[in-house]
Amino acid sequence: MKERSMTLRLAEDRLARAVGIGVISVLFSALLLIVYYVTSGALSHFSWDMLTTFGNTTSGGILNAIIGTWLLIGISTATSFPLGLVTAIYLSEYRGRLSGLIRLSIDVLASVPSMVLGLFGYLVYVIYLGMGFSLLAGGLTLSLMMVPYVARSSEIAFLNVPKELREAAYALGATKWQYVSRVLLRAAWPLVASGVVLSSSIAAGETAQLLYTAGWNTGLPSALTRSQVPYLTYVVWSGINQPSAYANGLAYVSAEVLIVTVFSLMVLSKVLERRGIAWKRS
Amino acid sequence: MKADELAISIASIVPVAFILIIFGFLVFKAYPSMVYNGIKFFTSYVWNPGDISAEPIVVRGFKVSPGASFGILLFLTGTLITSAVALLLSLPASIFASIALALYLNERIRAVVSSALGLFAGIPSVIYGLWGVVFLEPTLYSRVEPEMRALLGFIPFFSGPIYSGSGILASSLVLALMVFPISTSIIYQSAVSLRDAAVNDALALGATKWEAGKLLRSMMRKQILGGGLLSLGRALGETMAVLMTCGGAINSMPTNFYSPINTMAAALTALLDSAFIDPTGMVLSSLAELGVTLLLISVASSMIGRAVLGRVALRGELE
Repeated sequence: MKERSMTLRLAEDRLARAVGIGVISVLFSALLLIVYYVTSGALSHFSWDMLTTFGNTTSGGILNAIIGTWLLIGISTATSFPLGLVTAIYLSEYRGRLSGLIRLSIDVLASVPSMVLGLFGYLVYVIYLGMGFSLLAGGLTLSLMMVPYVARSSEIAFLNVPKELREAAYALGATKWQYVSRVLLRAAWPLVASGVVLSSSIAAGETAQLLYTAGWNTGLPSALTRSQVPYLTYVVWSGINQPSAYANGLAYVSAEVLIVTVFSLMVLSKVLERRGIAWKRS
Repeated sequence: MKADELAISIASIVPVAFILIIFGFLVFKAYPSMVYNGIKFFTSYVWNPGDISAEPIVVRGFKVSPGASFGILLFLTGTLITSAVALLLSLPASIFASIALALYLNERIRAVVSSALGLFAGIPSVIYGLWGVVFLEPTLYSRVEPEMRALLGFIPFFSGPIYSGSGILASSLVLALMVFPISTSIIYQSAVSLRDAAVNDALALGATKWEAGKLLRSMMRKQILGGGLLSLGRALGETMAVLMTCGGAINSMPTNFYSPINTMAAALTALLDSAFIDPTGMVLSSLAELGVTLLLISVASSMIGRAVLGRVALRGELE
């Protein structure tokens, strides 16, 4: 290396430090600005009626959309959780010839763009299987996106279980299934739950997959199929482009409810993760 | 094979089956479009469902409205340009931020920044879109774009008309912000783990932190490439934020960085309801072909990124 003066090297180092901290601060302020913009917009338009009444994105409130979002989260979590969990159990305990293929398909599924899943949901669930715009069509479409997240995070949760537990279980004569159901799942559940909660937080913020599978409803869906569902992200998308200030306000308030929902789910996921790791240490 | 093993193996095949069904069904639906549009699908930028009220005509065995023509060149261009610009802006920032975090900042700030990265990665894309509409577009229109044109107008694509603020620049900036947390969390993790492995030695030998940082960067080539490709995959497929900020161009190619544009994901979303009123089904078929194209490009980018990263990606992506 070429010899350079110490002063120059130190000056360069200080400059790099300043630029580096500058880059971090600028980007984080931009990201914070987004949260700030939504929050201040929501506060300036807020009224309690917005949260407690049903509405149609230009008048009334967003209670129907809040309930609809939770119903969709419920359906998509209830369908993706067992599937993702079983896949993870296979990948970490049963490990057959199919492991490579299954892992590959989980990675591929995780990289399918959300609107392509939306198109698939529309073509297959809505039209081909005749579900119409509905809770089931929307929930199952979201579930396609959640399965890879649940499978991956559960697999990581299982990797965190000390291998002494497995050895002990098998030494006591447990079968594979006895080990999985009585030892592995019990030991890993906080981390598994943490992953499930994290993936439902992602589902809560989805829009593209729902536009052509869930539809919209000024009330609540009356059945699992053929009855449209309202949801929060739709209010944000359609309300912000409306000319009326009230519709804009509904969009801001929905966006704020979404941010609060997503962040709370993420915090819950972190709490569960801490619990899982603390268990391992003790 | 025991019963539990059989049951679990069968259930685990479901993701594999879904991939095959998604791909198979979309290709099946896209077949009429492939036959009707041929290679023009990729070389033409005109998207025209034709005269849907007229009697459909039959072309090469498929019903289609007279005058219909489906080309995705505009959408393909939009997807590639916005993603490329987004990555050009965010990846260097990611690398710089990761190295600065790993070398210059203390443990407490690092912990705050890395959990903040997780939160920002979790902000729904429609909210980035909302911010693009209410803040970014008016700012670009009234302040940034006129300045850029005055200062950089001598460079091609920086001169010419300014539109409403929505367009290539707005979409690229929103995408850059959205993918920044993804690439940063991957690169930052490897920066922290490699710091202990090698960079501490360089520091002990009297290197400045900046010099150690350059060493760190050269050691992280793989992670930078992988993190970049994964965030590219995300940017290519991003829908709502781009749909809201792209200006929804149709049948006109962009002339500069301020022009309205459309991307494959945004066009797919915006045009799907036009398929409802098309009696021939050719619009839906062409949209399915658009979907397959987008699927292949975006999955390819993400999968190459994962292959480069190896198992590192498993954790990084979830954070």
